[in-house]
Amino acid sequence: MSMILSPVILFAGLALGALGVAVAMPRRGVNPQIIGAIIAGTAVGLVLIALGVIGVRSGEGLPGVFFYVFALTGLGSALRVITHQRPVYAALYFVLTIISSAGLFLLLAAEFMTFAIVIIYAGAILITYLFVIMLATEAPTEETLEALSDYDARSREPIAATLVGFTLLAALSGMLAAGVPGLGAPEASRGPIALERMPGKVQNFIAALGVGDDVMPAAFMPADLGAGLETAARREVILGWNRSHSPVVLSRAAGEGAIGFIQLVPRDPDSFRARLDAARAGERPAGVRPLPAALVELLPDESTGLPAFIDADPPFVMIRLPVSVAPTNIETVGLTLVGEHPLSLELAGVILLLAMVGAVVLARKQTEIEEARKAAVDSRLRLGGEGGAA
Amino acid sequence: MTMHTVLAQAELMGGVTLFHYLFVSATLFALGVVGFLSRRNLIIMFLCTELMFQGAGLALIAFGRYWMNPSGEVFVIFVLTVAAAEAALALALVAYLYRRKNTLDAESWAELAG
Repeated sequence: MSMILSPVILFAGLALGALGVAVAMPRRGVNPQIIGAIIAGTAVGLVLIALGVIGVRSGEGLPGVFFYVFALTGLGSALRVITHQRPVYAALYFVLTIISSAGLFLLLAAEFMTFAIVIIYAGAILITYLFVIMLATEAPTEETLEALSDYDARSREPIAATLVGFTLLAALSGMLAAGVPGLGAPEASRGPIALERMPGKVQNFIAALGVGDDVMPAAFMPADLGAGLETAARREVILGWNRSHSPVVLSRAAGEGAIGFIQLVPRDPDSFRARLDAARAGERPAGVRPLPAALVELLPDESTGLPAFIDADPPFVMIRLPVSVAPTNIETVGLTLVGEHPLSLELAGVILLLAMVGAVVLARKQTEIEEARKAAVDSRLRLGGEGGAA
Repeated sequence: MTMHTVLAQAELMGGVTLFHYLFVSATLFALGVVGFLSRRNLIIMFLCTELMFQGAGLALIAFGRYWMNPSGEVFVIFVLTVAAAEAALALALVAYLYRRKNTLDAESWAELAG
């Protein structure tokens, strides 16, 4: 079990960070907030630099600059959220935290969540916060313009709170750094290939090639059974069985620049074979309709050992699917959301509806009507009702 | 080079590993805890819970990326839903409490401790 990060550096950094945060919490009188912020920033920077050094030492190239930029901005503005004395500024720093973590999401190839979080958090939720801050703050008079209310200027038990929070953080990160083997470099596992569930997209692609009427897409095979697992066994993709019952095996080179292969079954195998042979030989015999050039380009190279036309029952052709057909992040998320978690989606909708009803009930202004007026309104309503009925 | 290899290499770029992301997310969460425990302004206390949601969301997306499983991202959508519902209710509650006591100080409700 190897530590990713030396525990001495990690815990020293966290202790320093705790000290900085405790100093930076708002308090009356002497205000060493800036010193505290500098200490906390130095501590986080120390841990991140230590992490970066490990990245360099492990021979994986220069540190990911963008990761460190986003991480430092996000953590720094998170510190300002919890230490700033004015709620409006705290909310605005929270927007900065959101944007930084949107950057981190982008680095993690989660494009959909990147803009979802900017729209929902920075757009919707934070505007609501700003409105409530506006509603729940008394209009300042000329003298109190710069004055802070006591509950903003002084925090409650900053040292104990910091101790609790950073003990939690030390336990979490210490466990993470020591406890999970193989955390060093992520081994990419073969995730669910969403394209298998998107026949329409494949169909459109085939139609765009100009052979939509001649062939039927039968199966999709990912080129990549376990990316990153460079074992010899997995470098080869078994495509299908020909008549002699030996599997057609294709080296990984055949899948170069492709996300997979699509099996096409011609409606008229004999004429399709003639067209294919003509296209491969570069001839244009009379009476044979030439295959579209776009399709010929996608046929696997003969040097990779895949026959152009696989004489199975039924006979089929394998073409490469270019990366441009790969499912985008939004398509993947949408398919997973609707296809695998439909009940949760409905429940989320119900929760939102209930929250809206609850918020309306809570925020409704209670108007006090004394009993006599209530009775008068009541009888007037009843009279009106009777008049309407008559 | 296949799509997954491209993505895996992007992930490996610069030696940024899963631990880096989890450390940032744990730190965001811890800062949220500190703020929630020590600040006295009700609005800032709820902002700190949003900070904790943010940390949890980052961990979920990093794990989803690590296992190449889009369910991580889908779960963040639900976290976002809960955060939005929480913000709506909490802010309505804050507005209501402010109307009762004319202050946002959480300690003005100390009598609830009994």
